[in-house]
Amino acid sequence: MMKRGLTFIEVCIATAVFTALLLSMMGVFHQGYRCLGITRERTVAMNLARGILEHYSDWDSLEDVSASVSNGEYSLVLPDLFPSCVDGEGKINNVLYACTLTIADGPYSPASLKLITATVGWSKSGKIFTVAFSTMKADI
Amino acid sequence: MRKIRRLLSAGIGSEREGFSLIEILVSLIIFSVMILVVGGVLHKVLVDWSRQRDYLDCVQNARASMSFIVNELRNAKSSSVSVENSGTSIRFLWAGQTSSSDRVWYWIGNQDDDGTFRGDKAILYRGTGTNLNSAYDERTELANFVANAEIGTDVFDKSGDEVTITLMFMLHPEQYEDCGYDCPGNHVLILSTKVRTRN
Repeated sequence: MMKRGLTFIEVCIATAVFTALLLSMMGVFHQGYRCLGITRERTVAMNLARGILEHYSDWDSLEDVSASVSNGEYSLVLPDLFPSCVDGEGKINNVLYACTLTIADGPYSPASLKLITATVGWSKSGKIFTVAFSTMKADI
Repeated sequence: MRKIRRLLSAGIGSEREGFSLIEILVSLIIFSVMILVVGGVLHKVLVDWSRQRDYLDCVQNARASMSFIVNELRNAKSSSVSVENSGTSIRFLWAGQTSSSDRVWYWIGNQDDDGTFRGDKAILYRGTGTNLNSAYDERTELANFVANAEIGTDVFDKSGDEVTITLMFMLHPEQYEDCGYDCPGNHVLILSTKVRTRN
């Protein structure tokens, strides 16, 4: 009795299906790494934003940014604020974070009540991520 | 019945050909290569998975400990905050407290093992007491994998009523000396924030 084995095409298809399954499994892991990276960067950014808000929660510190605490968006120099954790290229954990402080009028008494927003942004794989925290600050 | 007879007749002396030695050897080699390749891939996936899980623990650990310190320090009495031991420890009192025995301490250890003066240098501790020795007796471990001591970076820095906290984490801090910030699979995670005391 002549029993046929598998043809070359059948073997190729089986291999292709197996490879596709293996690659899709790898995709899950890749996604996991990506999410972990974003979580890490977001954690760092949240801590930076919180630190910036704490630093500028004092009216005198706001006057260092703008003498008359006028409305606007001000770029912050990260190594000046966090010298011990920024490397020579201005990066933390190999990521470049751009920090800005935005001063806007508060809902009442705009001369002495300001809405301040600390924004920390970074880019990864061509995408821009930002974390922004806001608070009110009164001149008292 | 016919099937069984056919199966029995397919034994010794039948005209049906088996596999030749060469065929078996070739198939064994191909099978072994496939097993090795798939096994290698699976091993790498498992190792990376395990490392990824540890790193995630490290990130969660870092975030939780940082939030804990910040929340507590924010309520501290400003005049009582003092950074000690070259930036490796901080002590403070809460508003309304005056006794030195109520002092809250945060510190990283100064030894490789937990049986000596200030504990393991890869662990961030919290305790209360007049001095670090008495705080050490009532210590709780807040975070591990701390690499500040290995890297040589202060954890605490105080300027006016503002405290800067910098925590550096590595899964294997002891490897920092050999391969620096970018150890493969053992990168340094740096977290830094600032807090102002409110009282």
